[in-house]
Amino acid sequence: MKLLQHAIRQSLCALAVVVCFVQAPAAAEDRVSTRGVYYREASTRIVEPMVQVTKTGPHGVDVDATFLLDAVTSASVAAGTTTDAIFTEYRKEAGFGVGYSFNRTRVGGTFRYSKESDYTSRTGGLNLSQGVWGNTGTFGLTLAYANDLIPVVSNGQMKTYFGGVLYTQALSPTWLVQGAYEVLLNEGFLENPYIRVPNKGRESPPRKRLRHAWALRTAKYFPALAAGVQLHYRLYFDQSAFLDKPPEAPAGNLWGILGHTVELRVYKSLGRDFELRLSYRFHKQGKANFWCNTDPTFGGRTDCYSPFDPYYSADVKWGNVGTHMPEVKLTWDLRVFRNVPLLWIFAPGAADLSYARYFQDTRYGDAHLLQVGYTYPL
Amino acid sequence: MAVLFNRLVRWAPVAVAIAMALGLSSCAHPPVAPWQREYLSRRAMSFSDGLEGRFRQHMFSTREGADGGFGTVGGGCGCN
Repeated sequence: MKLLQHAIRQSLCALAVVVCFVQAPAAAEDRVSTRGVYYREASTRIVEPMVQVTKTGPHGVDVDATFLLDAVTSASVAAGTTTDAIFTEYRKEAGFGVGYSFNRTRVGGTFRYSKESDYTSRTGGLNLSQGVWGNTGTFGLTLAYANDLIPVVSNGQMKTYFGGVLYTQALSPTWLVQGAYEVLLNEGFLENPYIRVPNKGRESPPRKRLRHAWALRTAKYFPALAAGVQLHYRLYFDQSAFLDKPPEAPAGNLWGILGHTVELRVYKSLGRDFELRLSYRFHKQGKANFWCNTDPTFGGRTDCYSPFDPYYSADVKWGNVGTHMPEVKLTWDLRVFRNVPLLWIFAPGAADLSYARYFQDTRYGDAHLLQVGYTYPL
Repeated sequence: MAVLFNRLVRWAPVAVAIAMALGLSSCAHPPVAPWQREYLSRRAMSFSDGLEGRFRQHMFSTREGADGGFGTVGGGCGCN
């Protein structure tokens, strides 16, 4: 109850900030989005209220601001410790972005700050987008740098360098395609500070990781059916090939995780005001080359690392992972309220409710994900 | 397999450049006129998930070691 009260109090504060923005004149992309998330798995509960404001000002300048609060209640099983204590931790995140558009070009910058008791993250980024071919295509470029600090350990710092390109093209009035490539370098403290490896102690993964992701997405709308379909595919792989390795490290790619993710979404309008979205996401990945399974309850061995192995981890997300996530979402355009006393204020916006079941074949077990959101155009 | 992926990485900028060049240098008219974009503005045609996607990506990054590909970086530990 205390957790919920804290979350609601933070949300109301954020909403009060948002209301201050509502007075200005409206523009096409301007909106306030609020969202509440409830995530539950065997040993973790998360309540997360979020709010985001996007506003376009005069002379092509746009700004956006985001605030969210994570309230994580977790039993230590998920954290990998050996006791059974339950604790609640709060994470606050604030983000701010500003952009300038001229002709078909937009340049922008973003900053994000995330703070919890044992982890602080600061991320800065620059982005560029360019409309091409009669503005039917958009090319995007993003560069970012993140500096994460983990004060509960002595060498707790991780640097992340990120680069991404993206191209979106309308092929017809009802067909969109998008391709994206991202590369990301993690350097420093990559482990989980709370997970202990049997017979070894705190984790010790390689301290550099080069990550690549290719993504292809397509969307097709069928006007006669008032329905649309999206298909997403993502190929992920990481490497350590060119990175400096200590002499005792094994040859070859220390990381080597290879992952495939497919997601299918079907959208269907139901009457004038409702839209139903059904989706299914499937993810499969192989393990990192340095990783071995130390969990006997999942077919592993506690002695799978030798005393001389320089790299070891018991974090299951770096092992073989398979997940499935079916989801149903209903969006309701609230125009029906426009003549209803008191409720007319919500009429310009849209509310949504979604439920997903997240099936995991790791020790975390299956999870429930419930979201409720409301978007109000400014 | 590793060789294949290394080649993919090496040729990524070239592939993007070719795709751009094909788009930019095409003599044909744009495939969609401004007055034909009604359906492109539908929710079903948007790849951006906004706040909904923000939580999902954070969740996936804490439970799957192969996250990425959706334009986000940074955030919390997710280690509890």
